Amino acid sequence: MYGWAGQRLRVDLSKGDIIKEPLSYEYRKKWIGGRGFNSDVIYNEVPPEMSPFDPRTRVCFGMGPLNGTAAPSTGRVTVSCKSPLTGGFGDSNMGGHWGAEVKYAGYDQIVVQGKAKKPVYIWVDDDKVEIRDASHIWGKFPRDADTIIKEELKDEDIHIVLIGPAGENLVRFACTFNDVYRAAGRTGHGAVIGSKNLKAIAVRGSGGVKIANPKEFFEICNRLRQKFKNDPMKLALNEYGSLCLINYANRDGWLPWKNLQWGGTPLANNMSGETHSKTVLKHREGCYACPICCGRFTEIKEGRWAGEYFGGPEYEHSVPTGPRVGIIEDANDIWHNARLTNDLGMDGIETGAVISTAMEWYQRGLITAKDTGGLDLEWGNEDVVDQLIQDIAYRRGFGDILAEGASRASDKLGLGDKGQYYTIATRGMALPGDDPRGLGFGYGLSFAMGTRGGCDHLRSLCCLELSGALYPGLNTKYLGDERPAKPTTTVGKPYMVYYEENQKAVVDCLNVCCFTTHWSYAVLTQDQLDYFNTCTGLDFTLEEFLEVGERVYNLERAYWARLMSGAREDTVPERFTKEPMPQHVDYQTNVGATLPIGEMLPKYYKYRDYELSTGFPSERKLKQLGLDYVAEDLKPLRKKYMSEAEKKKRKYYY
Amino acid sequence: MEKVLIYDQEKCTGCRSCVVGCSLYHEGECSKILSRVNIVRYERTGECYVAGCDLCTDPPCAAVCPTGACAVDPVMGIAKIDPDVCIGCKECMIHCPFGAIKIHPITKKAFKCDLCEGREEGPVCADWCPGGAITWASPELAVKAKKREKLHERITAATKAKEVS
Repeated sequence: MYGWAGQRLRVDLSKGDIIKEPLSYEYRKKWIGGRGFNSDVIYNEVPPEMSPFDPRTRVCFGMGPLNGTAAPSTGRVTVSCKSPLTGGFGDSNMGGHWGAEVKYAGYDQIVVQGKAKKPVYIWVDDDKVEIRDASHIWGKFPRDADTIIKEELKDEDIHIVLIGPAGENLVRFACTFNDVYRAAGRTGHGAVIGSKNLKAIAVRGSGGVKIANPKEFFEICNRLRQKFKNDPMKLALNEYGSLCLINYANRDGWLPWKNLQWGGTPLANNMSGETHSKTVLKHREGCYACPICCGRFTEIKEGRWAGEYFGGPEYEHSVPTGPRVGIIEDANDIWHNARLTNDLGMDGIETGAVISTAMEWYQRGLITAKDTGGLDLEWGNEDVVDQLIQDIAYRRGFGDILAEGASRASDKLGLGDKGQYYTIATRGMALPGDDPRGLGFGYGLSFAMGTRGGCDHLRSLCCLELSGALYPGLNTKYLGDERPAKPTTTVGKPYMVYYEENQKAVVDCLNVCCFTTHWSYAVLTQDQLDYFNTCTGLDFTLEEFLEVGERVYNLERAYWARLMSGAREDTVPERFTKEPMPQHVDYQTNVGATLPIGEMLPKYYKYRDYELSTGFPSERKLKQLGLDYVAEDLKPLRKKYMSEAEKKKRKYYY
Repeated sequence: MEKVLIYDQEKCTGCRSCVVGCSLYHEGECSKILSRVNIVRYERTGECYVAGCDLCTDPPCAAVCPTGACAVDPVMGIAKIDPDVCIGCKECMIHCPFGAIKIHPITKKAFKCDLCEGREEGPVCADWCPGGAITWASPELAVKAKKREKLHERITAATKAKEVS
């Protein structure tokens, strides 16, 4: 077998069973791997009505056929579960070296189910799999737990997936780490892992990944890596990390300032990649087999946080607990907050989002110091942010309410629709640090449509929109038209989002990094097909390749449909449609912009072949994709979704 | 001037592009244990080091080899291992100060860096290194450049100090 390892490892923590299941040729061809395998397991084994903390629920770690190979950036892992934050389908993706190590140990996927009686961790040493006691590392920061496990197993070179204290305390947006600092942040599977009393999965792999046509595969990888050497996007990411986006974001008005009330701040350069690399950067880091190496390692040198060190930050991780909560003057505060969310094991995006939402409730007078336990939630108050991050992780006082996520917290505080207006979330998950009024209407559309809580910057990652200006001709190559390269236009955007979502789904199935797709000009979709085919020995055409992405996407969409989430929930926060972008920076380019989401949705539905009334995938489409059983599942639900009782319900989370 | 592999530990990002490239080029398989170059990572502190063959002039691996399988190649001037003569005693592996020799998991014979003999662009590890931690260059030229760099640094620091005072 080439590319794949060919088996799934299933660990049942209740019974202590370790099961290895072979993955058939047809199955591998149908789902490819990573997100595909995970979505299939979640759809078939986790019923929509099951509580995310039920012991029977699954947490899946999916690897693809390319993991561990020489193709650009192949260390990624997709982690999926039923999300405790949104209640719907949830998955997240992380870099690092763990994914490659699992492939070398001989597994394509690890599925954890059941619940251990006491804290445990799993030790995968090639064929040998053990469940070991973890009482002594329960409650520890990932960095300390990592050190202790490595000492215990007497091997410094193993790679470990970990959760932090927030996951143990069932914070609904706790995340998973590998190699201490590489986080799969979103959708809160850290809490699900914590609910299973699982602290870590340590892996040692001493095998390899076999390649069908090694010579040809080497030539393709070599060609792509040569292209990366002079790629402008690579050079910027390597030099400044993803923080290189800060100044662009500020100019184009998509850097969130005070819960996205404004799209930038005059002091943004304080936290830009240029400043970061001059002041606190210790050195650069890379995930497995990466030709870019955008990872940072930061050491704070002065001020009240002097001496703190951590792996990171990156754009999406630092912006929410920085400008989004009004902190910009002292960048060290931002790095400290990023370090803190890392160590406590929480999603930086959601943490920043709930705090900034609470701050806006405070600003608008919806809550007072009485509700917050005396905390003064003024914008930019670092003491309070620092305190709240810790309170959320340990579920203390007001932090206990915020640990439920912004939408749930709004309901708990009884703020009604007014409170929900300021949550800046769709389907219960907060938007990342990108304002679609400036970043691009394509992004806005994908925020409305995404299948992991409807919100994400990685679901479509409209590379064509973001890199369009940097690489003239890229849009023509993919869409036959250069006009969609402009962010603030609706021309061509529905098709762009449709295409990008399918393409990114395949990328997640292969489990390579989104930065090594046509985000830069170095790797185009055809190149990805080529290295996939030469690696696995299959002969997919481009259409078949993208069809896998479409299949995965529709399966996830159908999972939401089973939760009664469809067309009525396909919206963006009203702030983007109702409030024209105000000016905060002199040279801002998108003043006055709103997001015309209504214009794009019907066209997008047409490409997707969704029913206009329900927004569910049509029966025809599902059958065409080989998902007949899904079509059967959805049959009785279409009518139910259109019933008056369902129409009356306001659903912010599930 | 002859070129050698120069490792700059400060620049290593620990991405293992060199490792996976080496293994694919030589063995047609992607693996860490089949690679001639190694990466050591300390996850907690984020330190990464590259450990490859340092191409010794008087290599300890050749000196301890009991069969002569590991010997200095007269053309290339580096130690090479002949797998047909190697008996898999692991002496070279133990004595290499850089941990650059490994035992093949299937043949059980020792193997080491051969500078990707015959590859026009030079060794894959240096070619694929994204951060410039491994370079394929003549040592004299590399040292010259370094000297200039250091001198430049010193002079600018001195000028700055003068300006401040």
